Amino acid sequence: MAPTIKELMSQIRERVQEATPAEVQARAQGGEKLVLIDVREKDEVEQGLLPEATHIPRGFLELRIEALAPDRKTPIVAYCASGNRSLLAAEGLQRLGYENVVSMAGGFNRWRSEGNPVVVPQRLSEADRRRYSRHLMIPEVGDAGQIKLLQAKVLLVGAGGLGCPAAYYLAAAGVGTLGVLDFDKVDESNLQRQILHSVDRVGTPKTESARRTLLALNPGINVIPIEARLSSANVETIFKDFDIILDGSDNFPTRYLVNDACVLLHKPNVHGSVYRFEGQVTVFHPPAGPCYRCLYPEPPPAELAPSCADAGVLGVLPGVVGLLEAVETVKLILGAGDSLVGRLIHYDALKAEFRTLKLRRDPKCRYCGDGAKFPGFVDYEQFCADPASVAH
Amino acid sequence: MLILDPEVDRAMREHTESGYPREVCGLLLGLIEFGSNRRRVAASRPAANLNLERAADRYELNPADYLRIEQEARSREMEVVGVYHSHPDHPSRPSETDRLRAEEIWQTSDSWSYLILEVASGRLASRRSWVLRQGVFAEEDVQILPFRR
Amino acid sequence: MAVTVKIPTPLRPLSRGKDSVQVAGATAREALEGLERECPGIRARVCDEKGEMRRFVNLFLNDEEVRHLQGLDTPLKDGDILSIVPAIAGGMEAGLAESRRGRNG
Repeated sequence: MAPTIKELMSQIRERVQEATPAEVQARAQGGEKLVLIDVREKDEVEQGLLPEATHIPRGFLELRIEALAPDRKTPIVAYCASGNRSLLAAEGLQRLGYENVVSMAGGFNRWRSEGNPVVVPQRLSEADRRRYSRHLMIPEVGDAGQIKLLQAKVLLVGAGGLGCPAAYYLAAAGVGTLGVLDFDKVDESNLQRQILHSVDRVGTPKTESARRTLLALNPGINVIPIEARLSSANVETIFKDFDIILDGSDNFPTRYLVNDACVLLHKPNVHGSVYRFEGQVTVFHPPAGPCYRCLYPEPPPAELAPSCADAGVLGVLPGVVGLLEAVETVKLILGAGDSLVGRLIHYDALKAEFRTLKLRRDPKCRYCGDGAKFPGFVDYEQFCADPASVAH
Repeated sequence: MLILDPEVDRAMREHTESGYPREVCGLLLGLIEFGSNRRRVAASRPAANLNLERAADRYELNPADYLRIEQEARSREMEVVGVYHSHPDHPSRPSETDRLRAEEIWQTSDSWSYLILEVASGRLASRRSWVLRQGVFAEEDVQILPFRR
Repeated sequence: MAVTVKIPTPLRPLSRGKDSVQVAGATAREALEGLERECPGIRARVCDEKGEMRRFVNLFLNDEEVRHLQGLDTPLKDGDILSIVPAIAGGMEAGLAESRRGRNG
């Protein structure tokens, strides 16, 4: 005679081990490579999940588990709302040959009532879905990627030739928090390339001008204007709340401060430079690649620093380079593609040629080398023939 | 000894002065007399400096230019006999960076000629040539004479 | 695949003065192994102990750098030309190296 559901569940309990939420929490924090699977329905999951859990509804479990955990020895904890569906789910996994599966007794409800941490997934609003529809259609972005972009915090050092185009496209992409750091005011000569600014903004702080333009394009993001001069006194405080730093600065003292802070705080430093018809882009993020000081341990001596008057550039070049920096930033946020860590792209506009150079970390670098103790920030002397700052 | 054709001398002056205040670089084509170790330069060819970030005090000679120029040398039955680069507002002596980067290329034999041109305030001020021998640069004389095979 | 390897001036002491060497190889890596048999010691100047291209050396297959292709695993065809190209660089800093006049001047 066929078993009742009660009998079936009893039989399953003999084959499938259960673990209490406390036991699951202990295992999760103990460093074991545990796979947590939430087998509830989509609407239930919107209230919250266990941290690091993957959502696979019960109906799709056997069909999707092999892609998530091909190794049959993978330790798995399945949970549902109250601990019943997860028993059935765990039994299904055992039938597929998974050897190390437990079901969480009492489910999500008990987990939460016992005070354990819960993560509420961010969702895209209807307005977001309309605005970012072209992103949502791309497999490498999708809902999850767009949410990552909205949660990302990027700081643009410099709202000049490189910073303006980069900021514009990062705002368009929906990077949720953009910091814009610059202490300069908009000047007419900027308008040949610094496309966030305009005639009516001449004389206003660049940070304020940038904020207005970016919010007009995408009011759904946060733009944080930071009208300040970067120094050893403020760099750590300013940088610590951002995930990625995009260096659009035009002078060596700033470049070294940016590098050193990124090395100290382990943040990727997206770097670009331009001159006349050429440009370069790379991402500094040791130890996978070098930091700026691996290539240039010290700034040039004052008498060799380039004259600020010699800063001619074809306006569209910083546009190209700034946008390449924006692409690298988006790739870092999404975790997509191969980043430019350890590589440098060189663009020669006149020849219409791109070339790639390989860069290597210096294991003896004073700042990012093996076992290096952070030597501290340095305020190099600003040297420039022309006292007015000239942006890229 | 480095023997430069007068036209080569003029071309390098023009190249280094027009590149000021940035470092420019290029290659020297000609013939080496193995008995006397004299390097006779028939032509100079500018090459791109790939170091955009620090072009005021660093150069990286574009390898694609090296390839192209070496091919030209072969087609004219000559070879690359040296490298020239400028030192903007700086003496025409090799720096430690020059030495380290040259040492990577030359292990046992004497190097080709490293011709360094000092460009002060936009005008060529001096040019001196050097050969790396066992990790140390030794100066060689420079003469200006028309190139003949 | 029968290919030609072009030897740059700095490496000619290892190729007995020859500016090109004929080798056989299906990939760039194999061609370098063939080159090593002809010119012992030359591979160590191009590759490090891990078999990776040294940073200050470039390898071109015809007109393209192999690092833009499949690196040392780049496949070769009959008649291909592999060119070894040194990375030539330098710079200035405040303190200059001391130089000494050599015996040969």
